[in-house]
Amino acid sequence: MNGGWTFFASDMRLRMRSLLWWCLGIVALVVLVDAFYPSIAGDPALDQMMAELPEALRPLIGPDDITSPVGYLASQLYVFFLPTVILVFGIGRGTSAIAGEEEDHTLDLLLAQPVSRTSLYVQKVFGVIFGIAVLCIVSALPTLVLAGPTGLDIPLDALVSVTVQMFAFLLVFSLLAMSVATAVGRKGVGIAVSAGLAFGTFLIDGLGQSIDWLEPVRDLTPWRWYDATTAMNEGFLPGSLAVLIALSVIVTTVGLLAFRRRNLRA
Amino acid sequence: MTSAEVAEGALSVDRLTVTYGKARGIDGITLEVPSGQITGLLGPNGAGKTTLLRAALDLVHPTSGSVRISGVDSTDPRAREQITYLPGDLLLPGRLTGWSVLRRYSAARGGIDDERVGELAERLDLDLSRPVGQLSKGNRQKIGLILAFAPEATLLLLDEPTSGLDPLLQREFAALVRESVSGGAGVLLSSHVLSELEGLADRVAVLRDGFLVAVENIAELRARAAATVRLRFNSEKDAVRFASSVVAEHIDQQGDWVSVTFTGDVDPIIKTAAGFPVASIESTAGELDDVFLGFYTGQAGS
Repeated sequence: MNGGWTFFASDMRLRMRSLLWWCLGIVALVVLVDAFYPSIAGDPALDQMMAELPEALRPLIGPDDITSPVGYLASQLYVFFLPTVILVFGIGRGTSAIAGEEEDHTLDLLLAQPVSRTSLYVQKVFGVIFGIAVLCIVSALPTLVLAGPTGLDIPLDALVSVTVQMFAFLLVFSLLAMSVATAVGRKGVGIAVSAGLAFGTFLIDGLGQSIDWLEPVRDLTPWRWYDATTAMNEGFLPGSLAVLIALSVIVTTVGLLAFRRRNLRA
Repeated sequence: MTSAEVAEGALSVDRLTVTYGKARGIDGITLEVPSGQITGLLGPNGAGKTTLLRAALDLVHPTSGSVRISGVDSTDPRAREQITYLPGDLLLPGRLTGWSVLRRYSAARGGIDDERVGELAERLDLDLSRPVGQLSKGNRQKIGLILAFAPEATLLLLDEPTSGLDPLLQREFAALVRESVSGGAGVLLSSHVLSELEGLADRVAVLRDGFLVAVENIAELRARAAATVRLRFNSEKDAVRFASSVVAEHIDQQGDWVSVTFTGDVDPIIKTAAGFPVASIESTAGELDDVFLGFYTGQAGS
């Protein structure tokens, strides 16, 4: 590959500080959520409240037993909140990786060097993947460390499994955002398409669990294959993981083909 | 001065057409940028100058035709090992220091020669340890100059390079260009004003609406430009007699002054004047601008 990994390394240096701030933010957020667990653990009133929610809304929140450690972490963090926060990072990184440089007029100087667009794109993709991986790993650490004091003593493999699932899930929408933004040369288009699809498919997946006619459509949503609650209860889900990774590979490849063909804007 | 036809050019553009969407970029351009020469690229904004430079970098792809850099097709990334580029409107990540910027934009060509960079920074009086966001526009432009002149390149693509440079820096820029050329590089220098190219370029390619309308040798053009000589004679009578015997494009006699506008050789005019008592003589060189304006208005001066 032309130029080795020079852009990856250069981007790392350029963005390291912002990644560190994101790490701190994610840790603070998870610590906060974890710290609330002792005050609601085993409170039957909450499970009662969940049971009284309309059938259709319940899956949007997560498992029914939100006072157990797994139920609490799934409903309060993993089903929606944590992936959404990290997705903000992923979509931001994905769209600024190349489209952002094009809008800032700095892409020309990068590509005026002896490097192929494919090489640049692949290095930028790995930069995005790296950032998301770091945040996913960091997000699991507080729960691991605070298991004793908070009583959130879930099995390690449950935590690993849901983190891996979340990582693969985040790649789909982050790389979709990158792909779309790079294909058209505009950050905003990538953000809008990816964020819109992420939110829309979340509703379809959640409502599809209780609305019969929506059920078949669920299989088309990445949320269905993320499946945080099952990942925590049953451990590693190779089939779902494969679907998520395949989706990432597809959107990334399409984005690359479009980027290679395009005339870049001055 | 070498001839315009050179076998192996630093840059060979062959019947290049670039269209994007509905807009036409450039249309059927064939142009050779020889090594060891400075070729100017002149045209009003929107004529296609930047598109031509960016096609050489494969930032835009040929719709038809081809671009080769020392024989390597522009679509091959290795072609860019030979090229350095100074964009017309240079924007850099503001948080990075000068040094970091230079490393970021030379990493893929195997880095940049620190010693050469230090030498250029000193010459241009630039502090590379400051974040570029804190630098003035002129100082940021200096970083662009270092990116263009520090690496060894066989082709320099310089897009409107002197806009935003103060006169002192313009002179340093001209010196850098001449050094590169004497080292054997070919230079393509774009501008929308002739005066930027005049003292520097050996040849000028003129673009209009995406078409190449002329490639001219500056020295030949200068000869073709209409120059003016003003002569004062001892008496009005001599002035009238001179005015009626000299042959030129335009003759204007007022009192004992005669002003003669001509193209080509001044010799016949001087010879004619020698038959009269001349009190004083002054001459104005031809305005190349007028010649080039002819290209834009479609009345090429040939």
